Amino acid sequence: MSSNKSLLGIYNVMADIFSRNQYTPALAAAELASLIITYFAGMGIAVYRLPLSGIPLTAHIYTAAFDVIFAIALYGSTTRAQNLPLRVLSVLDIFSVLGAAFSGLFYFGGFVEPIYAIGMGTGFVFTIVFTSLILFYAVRH
Amino acid sequence: MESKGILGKVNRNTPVLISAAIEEIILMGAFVAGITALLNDQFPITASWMAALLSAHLSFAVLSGLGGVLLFVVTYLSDRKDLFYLGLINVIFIGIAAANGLMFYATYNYDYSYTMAISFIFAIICTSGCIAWSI
Repeated sequence: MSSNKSLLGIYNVMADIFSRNQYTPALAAAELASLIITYFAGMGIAVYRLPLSGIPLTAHIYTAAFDVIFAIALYGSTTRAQNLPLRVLSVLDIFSVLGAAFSGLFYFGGFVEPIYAIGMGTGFVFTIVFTSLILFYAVRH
Repeated sequence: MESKGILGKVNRNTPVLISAAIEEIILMGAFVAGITALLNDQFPITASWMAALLSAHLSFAVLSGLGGVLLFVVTYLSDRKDLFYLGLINVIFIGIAAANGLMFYATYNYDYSYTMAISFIFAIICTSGCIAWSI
């Protein structure tokens, strides 16, 4: 490995960290970034009582779609890495993200009741816990 | 297993694992109670069951503050730089969330509620990091 001080050295170290376990940390970091944007937009709608239209809702829906895509991609990469704890975590991640997605679809589909938004929030908090567990576990094991 | 440089494998740290797991459960409880209170009523609240819900949120918040300080102390005692930084960032974000929550309760300005929610998410990411890196 080259020196850690140079720019190329830093790049090599980062690439080494994020490519562990068949690129699981890279995918988990991408999903985490997407989840944070989802949360910023969704929480803005919930806190400020914004109408279900416009930029916040578009940002929320698009990043939510990417959350599901990254969650399924994470299952693929953890399966290739043959790391059982990571596989279990990514299956739990898919279940929680799907729970949040289905609650969100009910909410957006016309059942504008708090219980569906609460389901979205509960699924979200489980998703962010499992995703960050995957991210931090995958760079270490 | 021993230390192998940047983010290499290190030993398990049981105190950090236990306190981070407890902190994680408390934070999730605070989030669910808080979002249920947010979505069900306008502030200031009137119904008594809403008051119970908000009390649950406040209790979880106080417990998560204490748990955050405990986690910071345990990570400090663990003699590991990575865990120490995660615990420090965690307790800073919990402090920001607590301060904004108290400001929201005093002013009913929704900007403070939003800041509370934003800092919560970074705190729970750091707590999950403490769990994963202490296993």
